[in-house]
Amino acid sequence: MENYEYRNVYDQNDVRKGGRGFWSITVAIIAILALVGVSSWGYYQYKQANALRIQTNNNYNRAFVDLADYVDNLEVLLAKSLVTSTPKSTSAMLEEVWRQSNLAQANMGQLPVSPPLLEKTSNYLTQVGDMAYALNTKTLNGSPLTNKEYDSIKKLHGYALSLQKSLHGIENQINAGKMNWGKTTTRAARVQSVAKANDPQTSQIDNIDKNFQEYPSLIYDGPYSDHMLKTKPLGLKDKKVTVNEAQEIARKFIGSDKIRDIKKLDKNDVGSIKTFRFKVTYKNSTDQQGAEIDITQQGGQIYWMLRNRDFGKDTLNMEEAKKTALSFLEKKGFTSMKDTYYQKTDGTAVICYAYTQDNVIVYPDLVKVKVALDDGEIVGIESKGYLYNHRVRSIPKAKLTMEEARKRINNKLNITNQRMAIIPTDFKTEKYCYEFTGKVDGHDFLIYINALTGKEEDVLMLIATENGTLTM
Amino acid sequence: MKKLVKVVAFCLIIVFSVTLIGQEKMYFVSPANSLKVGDNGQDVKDMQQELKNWGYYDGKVNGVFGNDTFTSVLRYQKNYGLDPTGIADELTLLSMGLGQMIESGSAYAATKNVSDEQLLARAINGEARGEPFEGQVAVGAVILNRVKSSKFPKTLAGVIYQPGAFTAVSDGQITVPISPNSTVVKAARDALAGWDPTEGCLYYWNPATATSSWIWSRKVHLKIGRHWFGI
Repeated sequence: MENYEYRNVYDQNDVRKGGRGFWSITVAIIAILALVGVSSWGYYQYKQANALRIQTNNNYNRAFVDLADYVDNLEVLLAKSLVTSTPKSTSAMLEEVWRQSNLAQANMGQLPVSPPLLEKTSNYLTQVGDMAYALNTKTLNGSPLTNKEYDSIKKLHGYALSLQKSLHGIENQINAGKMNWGKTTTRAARVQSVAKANDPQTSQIDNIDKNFQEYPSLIYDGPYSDHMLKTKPLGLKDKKVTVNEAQEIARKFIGSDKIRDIKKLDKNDVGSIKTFRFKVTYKNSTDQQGAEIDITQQGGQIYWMLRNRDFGKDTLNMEEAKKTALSFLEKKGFTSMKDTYYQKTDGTAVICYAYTQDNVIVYPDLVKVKVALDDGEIVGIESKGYLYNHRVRSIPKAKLTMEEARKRINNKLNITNQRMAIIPTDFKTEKYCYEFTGKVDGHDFLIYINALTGKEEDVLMLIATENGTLTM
Repeated sequence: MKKLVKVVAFCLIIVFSVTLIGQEKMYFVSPANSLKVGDNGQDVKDMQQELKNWGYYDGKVNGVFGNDTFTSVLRYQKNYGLDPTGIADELTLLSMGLGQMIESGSAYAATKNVSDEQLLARAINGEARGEPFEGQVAVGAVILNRVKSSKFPKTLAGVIYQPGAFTAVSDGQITVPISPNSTVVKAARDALAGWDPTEGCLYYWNPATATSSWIWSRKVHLKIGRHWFGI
């Protein structure tokens, strides 16, 4: 056997003898070319990756140094606003605080640091700006800051000083060429809380946030004020329901005849509105096209419901959809609701309803209803606004007449409609206003004049599209 | 020797053609074949806006091709030496700069103005593709809750592109274009319309794959699909 094989190989070599030199040269050339190709490709890739790394690192350094600069400015401005002598000059200072802290926050968001790491610092920067803005509106009208407000600024200034110090520590590292952001990106996410001490760079960044360990809660008239986190829902009924009662409510809400199965899910026990949650599957429909529904533990009210299904051809127009939604709301105990705006998207319409009391439209008491335009089924409802805000209000008597309010409006506005409204502010208070709808240069606007003070509280622009009206 | 030259040439051709693979064709096409009286939609709206900007049109930019739109298209065509038909054909639309970038022949998600909806939908797609619908809305809601929170950047793009915040952004899945009919787009819309299954949560994680240990110190609010949500 061995002999035979040997012969065979020998024979083959014999046959190819003539081409042997040529082929080995060819193979060698291909191999060399491939090697040259691969190594130059590899080198090129390496160069590129390196250039990119330097570029991103530069970007991170830029963002960081900018952040440090804005915090420097912030510190000085806060100190200055403590010694300004007139409300007007305080206002100018605070306005600049607001601007600088916004810029600082924006730059911080660009650092390669996973979210929880600089949470408190971000919160501080947002609140400094937000509070400065709120105080600015106050001082702009000529009223000076109270002692309490001075104290708050003083405290915030103290925090700016310590933040500044930690930032400059890292800035020194950058200047010494020791900061490698690439490392922090990947490590920060993993290392946090486990082996902080092992990674000096991550722990340095971690130290920034430690400045705010003892940070007090700040209450002022702004959307990021701490009182916003503790708002109590006002629209919940007193009665507590059990999970079985809630299931019955959910079943009735959707309609027993439509339900194939209803299952309890994990309840939501955290937050200011606690709920029981159910998964509903429908008759003649797949499991995927089911709905989830939340019923409040206190009050047994609908919190939200959402069904995901395919939608057929539209058969309802907007008027019919609004009618369907309104009669549905009335049946479910939401009375005196008026539709405000809607948005239509592939087969459904989301219609916003606001509560009305004594002909005043109460925007904070908001319920959103999602109607399927193929058969008028209610496929979604969201009543968070209503549950948080709804109550019977004692609406004060307006100090201005409609005519007086109207006179305060820019006379370029061609007014087409007017009514009374209660509007929400960004910080969970309400304002009683005259609402004017009007046109300037083909654009539609809503203008709100405070019925008690005559102040122009808000201007909204309406953008009409074929799918509904948006406010900006 | 001749053979050697041939072989070398052959090899070079192969090397060069390999480097050419991956080059994509890009060209402009008009968004619609033609727009005429009775048409409506975003394309008409874009055209009306252009006409309005240049003073050919003073009606409403409402996306409805009516008579006044017709006359302004006619005026535009006359002025530009195009066939005055009143029908905005491909040539007319292209001359208005309303062409759309098309890559390798397949329609591409509008690159000019990536709306919040598309951006959010792409983030949901990268983060929660295999999740149940409520889970997708929940991920969208968490992103929107972050925009509203003092602890995060103040814009949607700022939150989504925050370095290290979402794995789908770090590994580039965020750039994958998605069809407007995909369920993640519906989920993005519902989240933008205000549906929040998480009741204000700022974080979510998949306990099976979570790499960060800090996440375990977070209080779990609720579980939807494979994700846990918390503040």
